[in-house]
Amino acid sequence: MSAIPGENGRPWTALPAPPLERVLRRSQFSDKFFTILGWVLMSLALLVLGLLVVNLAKDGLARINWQFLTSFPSRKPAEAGIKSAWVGSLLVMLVTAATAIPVGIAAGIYLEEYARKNWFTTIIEVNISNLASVPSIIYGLMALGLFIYKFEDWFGAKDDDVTGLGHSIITAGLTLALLVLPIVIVATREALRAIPQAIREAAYALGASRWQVIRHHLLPYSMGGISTGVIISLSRAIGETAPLVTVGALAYVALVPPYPFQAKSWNGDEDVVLVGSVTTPLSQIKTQKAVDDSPSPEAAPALAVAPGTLSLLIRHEEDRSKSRPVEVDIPVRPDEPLGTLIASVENVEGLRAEFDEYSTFHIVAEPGVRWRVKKDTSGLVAATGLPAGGGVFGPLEWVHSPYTVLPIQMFNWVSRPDPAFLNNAAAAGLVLMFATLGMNAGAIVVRARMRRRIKW
Amino acid sequence: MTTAPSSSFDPLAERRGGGVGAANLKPLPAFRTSRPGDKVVEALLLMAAVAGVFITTGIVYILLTESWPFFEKVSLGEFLTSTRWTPQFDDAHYGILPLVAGTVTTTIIALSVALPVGLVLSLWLSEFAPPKFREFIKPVLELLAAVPTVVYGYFAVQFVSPLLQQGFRAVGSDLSTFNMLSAGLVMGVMIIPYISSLSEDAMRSVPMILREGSYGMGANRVQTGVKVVLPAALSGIAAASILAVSRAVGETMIVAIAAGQQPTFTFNPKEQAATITAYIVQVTMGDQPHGTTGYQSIFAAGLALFTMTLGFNLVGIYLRRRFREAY
Repeated sequence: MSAIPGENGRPWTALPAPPLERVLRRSQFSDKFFTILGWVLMSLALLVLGLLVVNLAKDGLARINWQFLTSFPSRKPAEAGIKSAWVGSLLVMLVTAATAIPVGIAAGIYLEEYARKNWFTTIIEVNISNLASVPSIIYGLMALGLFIYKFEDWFGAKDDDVTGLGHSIITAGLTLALLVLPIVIVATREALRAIPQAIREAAYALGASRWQVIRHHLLPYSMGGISTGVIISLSRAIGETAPLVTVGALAYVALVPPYPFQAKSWNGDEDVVLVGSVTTPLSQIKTQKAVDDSPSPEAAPALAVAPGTLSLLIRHEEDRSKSRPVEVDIPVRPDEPLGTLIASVENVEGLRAEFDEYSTFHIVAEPGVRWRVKKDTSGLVAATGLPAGGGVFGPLEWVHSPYTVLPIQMFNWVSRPDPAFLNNAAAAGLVLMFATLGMNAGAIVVRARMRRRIKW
Repeated sequence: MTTAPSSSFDPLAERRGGGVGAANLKPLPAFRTSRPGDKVVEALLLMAAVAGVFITTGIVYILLTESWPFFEKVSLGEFLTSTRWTPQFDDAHYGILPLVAGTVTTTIIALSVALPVGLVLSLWLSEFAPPKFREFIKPVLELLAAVPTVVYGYFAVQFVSPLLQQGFRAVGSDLSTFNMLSAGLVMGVMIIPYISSLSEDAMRSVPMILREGSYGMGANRVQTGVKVVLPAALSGIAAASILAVSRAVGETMIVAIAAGQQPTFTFNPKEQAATITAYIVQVTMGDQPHGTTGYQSIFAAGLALFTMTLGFNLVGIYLRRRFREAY
């Protein structure tokens, strides 16, 4: 056997090929390694989820009871509850669902079934996909600037308290609706896209118009996919905190919004007072009230900065058997024009102006007196009495009510120094997790059932 | 039907390619039953579709008009280059860099968790996991992105941070209660599904024939996955990663709760620092009166944030075009 001359004159020999067995073994090894790596990472990810729930449960499970669900927040951790928070979350979701679902489905139908490929629809499509990656807090800023301030500039009447949409349930609901709109649109389009073309062709062949095809065939068939998307979008909305912080969800709300046609009972069992801040920056008043809870232990007013005007709304739910006067502290600076205020306060029957040793100005109102303090452009303030109440709330008056939601309530409790509030935060977090994970589980079930039922 | 697997979680779905072209189908001309309501319905649907454009226009309009007065007081040069953000001091400085540093640091930490884990998981889900199990586990993993971020914030500050503190103490170091590390790590866990699910969608839409070719050449599953499927799905993976970056940059509650509220110009993950989003939350919690510089500054910060995410989006669009594989 003669060697073939190779480089440097040495005979060329083939490198020994690794035995096939070893190649296969190494190949199997890397496959096995990756399989195990995948399992480990997946388990770790799920472990984090588990730890999160266990950690919440450890801190908060003991706090979850009937009292917690049916009490308003309080400065005493053990008495605090999430009644206003879950009611607020529910109502905000109602507004979000009522706007995002119809608009989102309609937009999805248009883009999938009507839109022709041209520059206009391209713009719309690029837009919607871009919206998916806009941070949620940007939506909040947009809502703050638009719904609260620009609307007031554009539509607000100067003398009216209700200008813009204010820090109200409807602002929050619309903000979240904008946020989840892309999710609903995308889900609708995907569901429609999954329907075979033959269905459309068959319907058209029978003489159906485009809308008839959609109404009678495409929508019913895609209902499963669309409802999955809707559930997912609402579960996203219910856990959103950041945009609602910017549009002024309140940390401390001790009232539930009036239900439709609820009787207004100013006289006797419920006190409703409107209070104007004097010239103190609104921020200070709001912060002080939000942190100190209430001016007196009996009264627990919820404070909301009404937009534009310097009015603060205080509605408080007092123990109905007590008919004590309601006291409201108004921090004032020494240089403020108090004379006119005091005079106008004393003018209103049932109101008293008082100073305490810290020169804090109080307006003391007898139960049942409705009054307001307004500040005009020159900085003068005046109190006026309002006619005694009566009548009923309108069917939609609740949308203008101040509110808080579960994530905001939890955020507020997390940031408190008192560790006892952390248990409340964990409990609120558990309720929130129950809601979001429950909705997601629902979506998973709907999706699975839909896949099983429909086979094209 | 060869549509991609339907997942309502997927915010990128419509980017994966054009629709079926249902709009090209029309009612038969001879039978066109033009009902009077049809045009009205179409107009209504069009209005709904245009709403998306209005949202973007609204965002840009509000950010620009509300931050305009701010930039009349603070020069753009100071805003972009000063390393001090001290709106509450008498000697107020408005340099966005400290907030950007906080945002970048937390984002990098989050991505260093989410990118490797997410990529391995997506490859594993698409090439290794049994199909039935995959159908089950994908939505379960997506729950990680469904947990409210305020709950993640609580988890970061009440569980992860103390745990890390113990670890650091064991090696003779120290860590403050609020730090960017724990916030970033938890944020990383939160964005894992954005990468794993969306990349997995992209990988599964890689045609089977490519895999078969690779197997036919004697490659194993890892080799096929890494050298064939991954490059073929690169545009989808890039899009998923970009979305994850946007999420991390715009994430608010986790950093607001766990990373601290003090604007510090630092990239040290052990320190506390405010991010752009945390600053906006901090100001709006305190309810700055309309028209003050503090109020306007949140819109300037928001504009910076929006520009950043828009930039990532454009990069994403470029990457998708660049790496788009047509089959």
